[in-house]
Amino acid sequence: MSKNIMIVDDSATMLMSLRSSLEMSGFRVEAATDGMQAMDRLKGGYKPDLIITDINMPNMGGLELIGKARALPGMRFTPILALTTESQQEKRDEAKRNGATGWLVKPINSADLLGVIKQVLPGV
Amino acid sequence: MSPLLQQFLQESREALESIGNTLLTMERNPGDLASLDELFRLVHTLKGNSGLFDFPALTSVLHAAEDVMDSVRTGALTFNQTLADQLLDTADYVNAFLDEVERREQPGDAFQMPPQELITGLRHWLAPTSTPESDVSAEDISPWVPSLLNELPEEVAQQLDDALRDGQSVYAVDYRPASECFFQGTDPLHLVRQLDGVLWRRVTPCQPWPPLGELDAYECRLRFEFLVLSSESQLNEHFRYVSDQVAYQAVTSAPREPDEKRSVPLRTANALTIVLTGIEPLALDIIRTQQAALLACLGQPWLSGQQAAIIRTLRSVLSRQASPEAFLTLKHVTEQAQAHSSAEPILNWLTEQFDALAELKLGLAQDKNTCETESAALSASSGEAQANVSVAAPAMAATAERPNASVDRTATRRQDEAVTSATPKVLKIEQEKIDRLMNLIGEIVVAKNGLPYLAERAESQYAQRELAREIKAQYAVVNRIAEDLQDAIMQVRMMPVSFVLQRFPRLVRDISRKLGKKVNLVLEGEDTEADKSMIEALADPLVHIIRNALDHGLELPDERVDAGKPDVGTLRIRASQNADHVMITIEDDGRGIDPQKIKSKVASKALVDVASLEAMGDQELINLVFLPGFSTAEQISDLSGRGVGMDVVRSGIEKVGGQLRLASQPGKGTQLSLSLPLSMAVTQVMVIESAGQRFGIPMDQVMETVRLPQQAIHTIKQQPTAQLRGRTIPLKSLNQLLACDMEQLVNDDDEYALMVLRSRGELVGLLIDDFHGSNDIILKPMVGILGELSGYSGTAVMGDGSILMILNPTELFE
Repeated sequence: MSKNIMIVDDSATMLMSLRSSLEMSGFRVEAATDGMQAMDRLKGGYKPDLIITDINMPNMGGLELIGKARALPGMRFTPILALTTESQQEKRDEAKRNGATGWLVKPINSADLLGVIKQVLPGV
Repeated sequence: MSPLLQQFLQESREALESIGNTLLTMERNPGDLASLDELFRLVHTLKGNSGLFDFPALTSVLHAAEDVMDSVRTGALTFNQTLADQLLDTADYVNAFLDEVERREQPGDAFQMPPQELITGLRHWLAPTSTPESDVSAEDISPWVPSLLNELPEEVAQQLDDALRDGQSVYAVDYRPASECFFQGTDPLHLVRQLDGVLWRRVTPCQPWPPLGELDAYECRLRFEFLVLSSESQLNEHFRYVSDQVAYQAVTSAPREPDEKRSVPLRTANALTIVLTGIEPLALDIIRTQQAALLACLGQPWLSGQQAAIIRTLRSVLSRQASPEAFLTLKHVTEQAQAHSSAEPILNWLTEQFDALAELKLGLAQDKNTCETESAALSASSGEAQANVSVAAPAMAATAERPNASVDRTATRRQDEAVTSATPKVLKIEQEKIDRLMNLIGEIVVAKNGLPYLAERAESQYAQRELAREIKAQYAVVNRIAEDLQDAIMQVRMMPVSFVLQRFPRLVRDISRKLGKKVNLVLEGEDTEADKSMIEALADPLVHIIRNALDHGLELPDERVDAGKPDVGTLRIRASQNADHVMITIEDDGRGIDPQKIKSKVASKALVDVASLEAMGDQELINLVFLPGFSTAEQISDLSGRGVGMDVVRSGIEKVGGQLRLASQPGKGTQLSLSLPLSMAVTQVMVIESAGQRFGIPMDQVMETVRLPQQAIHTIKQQPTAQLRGRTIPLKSLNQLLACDMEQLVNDDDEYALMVLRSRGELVGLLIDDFHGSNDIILKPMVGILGELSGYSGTAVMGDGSILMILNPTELFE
C-alpha cells in the first residue's frame, strides 16, 4: 500500500516540485494551496499518512493548520512536517509547539526529502 | 523548457508584480501590517522556489531581501524610502534574471555571480547576526559515559576499541523522548532504528513502570542509550526534531584492553552505505527496468517508439539524480542511437554505467546481511536484562522490494497531474490557442458572409426564389450563432486595463523622483476591459505619454507654488468604455502647451512652411507636436528624450485603429485622449468603389456619406473644399491619392459620392465613385514587401472569395 502524503503550499512551483519527488518515490500525493483548503480536505475525511506544509500562506498559514489538524480526531499521531527556510528557527519552534513532528528546510532535493520521510514515517 | 521551470517563471512574474504593487502601497502607508506580511510572504516564496533550480545568484539576492523583510516584519528595522528603492532595484534584478532564464533556460555569464552591490546594500540594514549556539551538547553527561562503557558486553567493547583505533568518531547517545512525543507524530523507536552505524544500544524505562491500571499507553516512558559510529553533525541532523531530548558525547577511550579480533565487514558495509546514499536506490531500479524493457523489444517493429519512451524516462530519472555528466552522455548515446536507428548504443551505455554500480550494491547487501547476523548474535550473546534491539539495515532492502511496475505508472501520471492540480481555480491558456480559435471564428464570420451571395445567385441565376429564401433564413441562424461565438471568445480575450495601468505607479514614482517633482497619480476606471492585444499595444505609447507629461507638462514644486498651484501636481489616468471604444485620458495640471512656443519651434526647425504656419489656429499648432522630428525639450533629458517622439506614439495608437486627441490650456494643463476599438479582431468596413476597383474603409472613421453636387465644390487656397452643415471641409479625391489617372465619376444627377472621414480629429471629405454596403471583415495586415506600403491597413477575404484591400485614410491623407 503506498502511503498518502498531503502537501500544502501556496506556491504552485513548490507543489509541482514536491509532487514529482514524492510520486517518483511511489507516494500518493494530495495538494492544497493553503491551510484553509487543507483543513477542508481533512475535515472531509481525507486521512493522509503524512502532512508536509508551508508556513507562510494566505488565508490560513501553516502554524494554524498544524494546530487545527492536530486537534482533529484521526490526526493525533500523524506526522506533520513544516516547510521552513534555514533562517526560521523561531518558526520551527513555534511549529513544534503547535504539534509539528519536524521540519524540512527549503530547498530540499529528492534524496533528502525521502530520507526525512523515512525517518518520520514508519513502514516506508 | 521543463514544466517546472515554466511554472516557476510564471509564478515568479506574478509575484514580482505583486511585490511592486505592495511596495508602493507600503510607501504610502508604512505601517500597513497586512502589506508587510504579504510582502514577506512573496519574497519568501520566491526565494524558496529559486532554490529548486541552480540559480545561486538569484537565491542569494532573494535571501538578502528576505532577511531584510523579516527584520522589518519583526520590528527590528523600520520601513523607509531608501529601503523601498533597494527592494525595487532587487525586483528589477530578479525580473532581468527571469528574462534571461526565459531566453536561454539558464543564466548566462552576466547572471552567474551574485550582484554584490545589491546584496551588500540590503545586508547593510541588518544588524550583525550572531550564529545561534547549538545547545545540544551543552548538557554535561560525562559521568554517564564511563558507567555506560562499563556495562558494555565484551564483543561490543572490542568493536568500540577497533573503531577508535581506526580514528573513527564514536558517540554515546542518550535519548529520552518527551512523554507526549506520540502526539507530535514522533515514533522514537523508528527514529532510533533509522540511525546507521550503531554499535550497541539498549532501551530502558525512565522510571519504574506504574501498576497496569494506572499505565497510560500513550505516554512514552522509554530511554534509549546507544553507541554509534557517527559525527556530531550527523547526529545533529538525525535528531534535529528532538534536539532538546537528546544528549551525546564523544567516546574517546575504550573501557578495557583491546582484543585483536576485528570486525571488518561491518565497517566496510557502513563505509559503503555512505558512498551509496547519494543515489536513490529506486532510481537504479527504474533504470534497470528500462534496460530490461529495451532488451525485450529489440528487433520489434515498435522499437523506435519504445526507445523514445525509455529515453524520456531515463532523462527524467537522471535529471533528478544530480549527475549532469550522466545526463550529457545519455544525450550523446541517444543521438547515436537515433543516427543508426538501433538501440545498441543505449544498451551498451546502460550496461557500462549501471552494472558496475549494481554489482557494488549486491555486494553491499551481502555484507549487510553478514553484519546483521553478526550484530544479532552480539545482542543475543550480551545476555543483559535490558531489551536489546538489533541493528537493522532496512534502507536498501525495503526499496529493492518495491514492485517495479508501479514506478512507470506514477512517473507518467505525475506529469499530467503536476500541471493541473496546482491551479484549480483559474484555467490559464496559452495565447496561441486563443488566437487560433479567434482566427477560426474569424473564418466562420467571413464564410457565413458567403451565404447571402449564394441566395442572390439562387434567385437571379437559377430563379429559385424559395431556395433563396431558405438560404437566407439559414444564414440568419448561422449569423446569430457566429456572432454569439465571436462575442464569447472576445470575452475570453478581454482583460482589464489595469493590466497596463498597474505598472504606472512605479514608473511615475521613479521618474518624478529623478526629476525632483511631486506627483500624485490618480488611476480611474482600471477595471475597464479591452481586448488583450489592444491593451498590449497600448502599453508603450502610454509609457511615453506619461514620461512626457512628467517631464514637460508638470512643473517643479517651486514653479507650481509661484503659479498659485499646490506643489504636488496631479496626473490622472482615466479609462472608460464608450460604446465599442475604450477611452483613455491622460490629464495633468501642469503648465500646458504654449501654441506660440510650438510655432517658433516648428519654424526654427523648418518642419512646416511659414505661410501655412501663420494660417494655423491654436489647436492646429498644438497638434504639431505629433510631427516627426519635433521635440520641445530645450535639452534632451534621459527620460522622454529616448529618441521616441509623439509621432511614434501617434502611429503606435493608429496602427491598432485608435485615435488620439490632444487638448491644452496654457498654465492649466494638458489632456490627451486615446480612443481605441475594443477589439481589433473583427473590423467593420464600408465597401466603396473608385477607378473601377473596390476598397474597404474602416467604419469607425466614417462620419457620413453624402452626394455632393459638382458645383458645391469651391477652391480655397488651392484646396478644393465643400460646405457641409456649416463647416468647411477639405476634399481629396481617392483616385488622385492612389495616383490613378482618372477623374472621379459622378452619378446621373452630376453628384459626387463623398465620404466624410474623421482623421486625427479633423474632418476630411474623400471623393469616390460609389458606395456599397458595410461588411464585417477579418483584417489581415499585409506582409513582406507589401507590408511597407503606406495607405493600406491590410486585406480581407470577402464572402465570394475575392480579396478586398482596406484603406488607411489617415496614412493616405499624409
